Amino acid sequence: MSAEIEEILKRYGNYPNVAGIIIVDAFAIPIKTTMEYTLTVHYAALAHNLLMKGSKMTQNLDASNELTALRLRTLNHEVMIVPEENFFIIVVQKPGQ
Amino acid sequence: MSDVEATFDRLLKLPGVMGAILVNGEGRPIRTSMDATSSHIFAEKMAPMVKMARAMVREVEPTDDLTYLRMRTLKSEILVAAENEHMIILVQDSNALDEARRNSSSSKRSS
Repeated sequence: MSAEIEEILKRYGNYPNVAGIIIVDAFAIPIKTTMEYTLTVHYAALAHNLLMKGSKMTQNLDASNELTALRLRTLNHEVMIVPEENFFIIVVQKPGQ
Repeated sequence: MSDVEATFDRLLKLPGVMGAILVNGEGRPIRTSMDATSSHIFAEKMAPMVKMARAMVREVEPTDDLTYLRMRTLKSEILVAAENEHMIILVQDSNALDEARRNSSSSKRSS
């Protein structure tokens, strides 16, 4: 699994404007991060909640459907949360023109 | 009011749109292209998500605010744009959307 994670980090790290990448395990504990610790834990916990709510909602609307990604656009950032089988990935981008 | 109508009609023309709902501050759909039941269900389900997402953004950075939330599932993509108290919910088919994105990116590359 760690090889997969390294590959993910490498892949997303090359994208422009990436402010941080956090890999969080199934218990909302960050296992790898490129950001500073307190912020990482913060993002991990909040993203985990949002993801849980989102997948529950998707399943409620249609039992055969499932959530594949969540993207939040704010004034200053863009946060992408992607659930994988045993973990989930959070990528924070600073959109620039 | 016609501004809202124009925006709404423009949204409906996007690729793969299965429905668009304009929801007011009380969570009631005020303009929709779907049937009433689906509109209500969507409005009801998306409101807590938006609230949670907004709280998340504010918690990480108090000066920041949510502009939109995009939920992608296997079958569809739900875009919720939130401003003040209103929400616009747009439901699009995932495949049609991906196709359109692929086409637009390849046309950008060739030009």
